[in-house]
Amino acid sequence: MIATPDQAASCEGVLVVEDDADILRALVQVLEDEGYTVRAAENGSAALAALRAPGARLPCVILLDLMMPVMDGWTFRAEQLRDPVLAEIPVVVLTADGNAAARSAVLEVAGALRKPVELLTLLAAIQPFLG
Amino acid sequence: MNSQVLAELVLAVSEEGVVVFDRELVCTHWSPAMERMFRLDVASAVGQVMPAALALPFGAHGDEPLRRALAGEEVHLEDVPYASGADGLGAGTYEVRYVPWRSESGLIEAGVGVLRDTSLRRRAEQRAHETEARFRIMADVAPVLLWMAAPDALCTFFNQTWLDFTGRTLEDEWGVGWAEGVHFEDFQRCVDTYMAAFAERRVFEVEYRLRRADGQYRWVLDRGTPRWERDGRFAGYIGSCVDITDRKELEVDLRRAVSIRDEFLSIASHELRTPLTALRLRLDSVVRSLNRRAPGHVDGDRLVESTEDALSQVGRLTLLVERLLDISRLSEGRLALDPEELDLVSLVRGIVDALGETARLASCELRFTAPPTLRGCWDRGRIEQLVTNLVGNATKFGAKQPVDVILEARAGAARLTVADRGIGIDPQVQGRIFGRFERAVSARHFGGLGLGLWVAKQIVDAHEGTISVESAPGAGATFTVVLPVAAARLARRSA
Repeated sequence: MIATPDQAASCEGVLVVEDDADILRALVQVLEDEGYTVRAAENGSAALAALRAPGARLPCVILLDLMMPVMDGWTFRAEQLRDPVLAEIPVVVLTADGNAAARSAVLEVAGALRKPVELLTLLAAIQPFLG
Repeated sequence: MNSQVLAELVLAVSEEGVVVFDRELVCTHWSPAMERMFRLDVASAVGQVMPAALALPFGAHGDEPLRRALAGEEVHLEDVPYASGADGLGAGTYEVRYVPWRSESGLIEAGVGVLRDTSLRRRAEQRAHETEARFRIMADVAPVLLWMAAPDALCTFFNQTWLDFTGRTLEDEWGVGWAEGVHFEDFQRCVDTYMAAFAERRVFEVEYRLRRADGQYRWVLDRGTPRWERDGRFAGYIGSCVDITDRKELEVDLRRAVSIRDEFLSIASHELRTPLTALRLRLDSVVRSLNRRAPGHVDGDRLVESTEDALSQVGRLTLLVERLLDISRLSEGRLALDPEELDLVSLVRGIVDALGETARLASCELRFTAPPTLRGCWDRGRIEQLVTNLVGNATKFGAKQPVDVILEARAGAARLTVADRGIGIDPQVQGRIFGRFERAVSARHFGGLGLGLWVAKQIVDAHEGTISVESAPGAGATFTVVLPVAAARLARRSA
């Protein structure tokens, strides 16, 4: 699933969805160091709220954890696919789950990474969507 | 061969004894078989008056049957007991037929007795009867349920153990009656296995639930073996059933324990990966910025921040590893405490202050209420762990609502209450939340090893205290711990 040129032109940065505060902080910082605009959400529900906020620019890619309280990654992904405005935003899953690859096939996401992830692997997975 | 020779030959080989006596009851013929039976040779017998003069207890009938034969009657007697020989060793029974012997003129000239020794047959019958009786006794006292079936697959025997188990009579169970006690879910499988084995005459094993006299269905293992007559004819089946319900339940428990352990390992791996992820990202970014930028342009503050965060992840990992080690220590038995005299109020306040920062990050307010002091004898490290676990859970599941931590002095005890207003605990799982690896919520939504409350209970138990929970879904959870100010065991140790 690749962003359309229209979206690519209007989208901005990365949305990181992660419930662990330490990982979230680290992700935000390392991606900001790479020069990306980064927004953070602590679970699926907060991510949907951020995406649907009036006037918000859509991210070019979403980095999604799976196991989260309130709304987990699976539910978020289902909600996102149901919303025509959000459905086309590419998602890269970042999970501690041992079956990351198998999970990603079910979720129809652009990529799946297993925690702990190397920074270069992470960057390689999201860069194609960030122009 | 003339008829005289033939007659003697027949008499010599015959198993049946032949005796001939004249009208005065004097013995005139005494065949070889008679010699063997009564241990009296022909020379001693012939010429003697029968039966008394033969010095033989020729049976309870005396000479009466002989006289009836001489009077023209055919007399048939069965099971006549006898004892023979001076030593009485030739004892036994015989059946006899006395017939009159007539001359050509039709007059009765003599009587003929034909005797057959029935002792052996009777002894064999007796033995069979005793064997059967012994089998019944053994079958009835055996701790297993025994059954036997005829070649037509219909059951003909159930031991007393079986009848006691099912609480039914032999008539109830007879034929296919026993199958009424088989659980309907197992019935078809049980009958199919039974009939298939019967058709092929092979040994079979089948597990099914059988109704016990108290109405409870018990799992039994039924083993059936075909029986064969001595001539090789199929004689049916003999089988035994053993109650394996306890074993089945153990198997279920074991499978559950293994699956809980596997789930725990997967959760533990997840828990370890979380700080490793942050650590990896921090160190990668340090290396990347050092490589990328000229030495003079490295952002020193950012490097310090990244490295400090990496160190804090190492601390988090260390804590996790210690907790994992704690499990094996706690699993080995009662927790060894290192009690000391301490003020619980300042100890709990220290923890609340330390956790307050994390709680604020989770938008959750921690409120602490306590008397000025509350002194007692406890293990400082373990009480810290207990309070940390309870307060940590309250902030984790507290749905951003305030959490109350209350300490009160009770008669000879300290009472700690940790109350949140969060998601609460399903009443169905409240009973097992203090179990090891138990979690009231899905690991998909909330991380953690699932050990906090189990560890808390081990600590409380070791302090001879109590821990309990009150909760309803959506209405928060209140954990109450009561710790004796000085448990007898601990006081002795610290003295």
